[in-house]
Amino acid sequence: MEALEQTGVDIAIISSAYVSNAKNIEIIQEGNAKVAEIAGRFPDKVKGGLTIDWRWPEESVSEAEHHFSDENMVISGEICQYLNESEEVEPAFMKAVEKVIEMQKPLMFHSSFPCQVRAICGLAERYPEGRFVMAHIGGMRAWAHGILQAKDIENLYIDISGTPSLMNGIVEEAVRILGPDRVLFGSDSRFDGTRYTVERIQHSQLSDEVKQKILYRNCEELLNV
Amino acid sequence: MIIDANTYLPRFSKKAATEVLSAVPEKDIDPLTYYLCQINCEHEINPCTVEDACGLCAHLDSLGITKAVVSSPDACYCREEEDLRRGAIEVEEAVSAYPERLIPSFSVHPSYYEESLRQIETATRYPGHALIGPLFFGIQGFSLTDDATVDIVTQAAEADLPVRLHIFFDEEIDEVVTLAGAVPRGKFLISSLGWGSRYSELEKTENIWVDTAEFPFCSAGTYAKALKHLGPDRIIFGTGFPAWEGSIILKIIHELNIPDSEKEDILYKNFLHLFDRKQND
Repeated sequence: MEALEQTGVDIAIISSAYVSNAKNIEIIQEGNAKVAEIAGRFPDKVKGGLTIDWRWPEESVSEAEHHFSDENMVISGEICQYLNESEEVEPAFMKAVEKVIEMQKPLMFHSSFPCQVRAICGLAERYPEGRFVMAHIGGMRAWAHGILQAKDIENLYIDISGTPSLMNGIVEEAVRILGPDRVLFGSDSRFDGTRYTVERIQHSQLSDEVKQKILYRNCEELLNV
Repeated sequence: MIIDANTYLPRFSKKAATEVLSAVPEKDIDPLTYYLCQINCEHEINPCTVEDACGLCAHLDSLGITKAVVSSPDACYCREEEDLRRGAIEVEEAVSAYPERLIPSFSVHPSYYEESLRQIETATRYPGHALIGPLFFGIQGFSLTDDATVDIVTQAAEADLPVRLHIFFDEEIDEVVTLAGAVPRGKFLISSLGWGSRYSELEKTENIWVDTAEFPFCSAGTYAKALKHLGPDRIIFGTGFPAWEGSIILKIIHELNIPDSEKEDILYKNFLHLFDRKQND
């Protein structure tokens, strides 16, 4: 809470970092429960992100059913484990994706490589009724892929957390190509870095209206927070 | 005064960018290379609004940076000898247009040995301020411990020319440490604060400096680590323009919990000390 205050962030969507490469489903369940507990404790400041994992599709469906009845759990993500060894979305995992969509929650996927960008775009195209977020604009080694491939996928948002927002002109290019309504502020929760990312947007050449959309309005609309 | 020890001219030929992108597995490409491959390549996307040395100087003005070391992407990622020559011409043209602002850095590559020696000779014509590199040995696929590389670097060291090295994977530091040991007279400047790791190895050396370019999200914590292991005398300000937001790197340095005199060391004094070329001054 102190870090959020220091960085000027009013509401943070949190997920459990230590489940991103969990060895078993119990770790994920425990992480999700902790996130829900924190979001319940600070409902005005924190909203929860639910982790699901392609390796446990059935259990992921159960996690969605269990947690999304909680109004403080607003999104599934950041989902890091969604590509199998063949770098494809495991067909069985679609059940969990479909469950989240059925429960009218967006899904946020980690991205770092072009194969992940392709997978996220593929999911967003396959499920036009769903709402998807590509975290990190595709990542520091795939942001151009991310922006260009997301261009015509209206139900796909990007968040600017991570390295690309600290590189010259990438956020501006994302806004130019995607329009201002699908770009979300994110920090990736490095709290000393969060301040720099906020300032990076505030001091950019973008109009005040676009800055407001990125910093909170688009997120309010997407997540109903 | 502020000196940026790490910038690139904001142009990269489409041919070179295409070749680099196709030669490097997509998971192995580093963020700087990926960025540079996107600019001026007639892609639909181009985040870099600066087009030439004039624009670079305007950018430096906007950040309050007095001088910058410039290198040529085409030369750094050379695929043939001609790229080294063409890159050097670009660098020399930029420096001759803005001699008070820009400091040249000339690329070398062990596959183009003779041309590399000519680049070193060219660099020696700039008394006081000139560098060699950066060597993109990881992404270019050559070893720093090959005889040809060691020989080129030795010749640079004999001319008192510091050598810049771009690193992306922290294991690349091992090669740099070996090279620095093989060429004790050399002065080596590695990017990205040494990637925030392997400081115990770097600590044992005396001729390796780290610049602050390229990885601003290392954050104050990484700077604290670098300061603890290397001290402020071995950290040199650099941005990695055009890829990285220099304003953030400057802000992190200004907010470090160290005396102003140490911030000055990082921002320009270390650079001036490192580039005190006895032979040519």
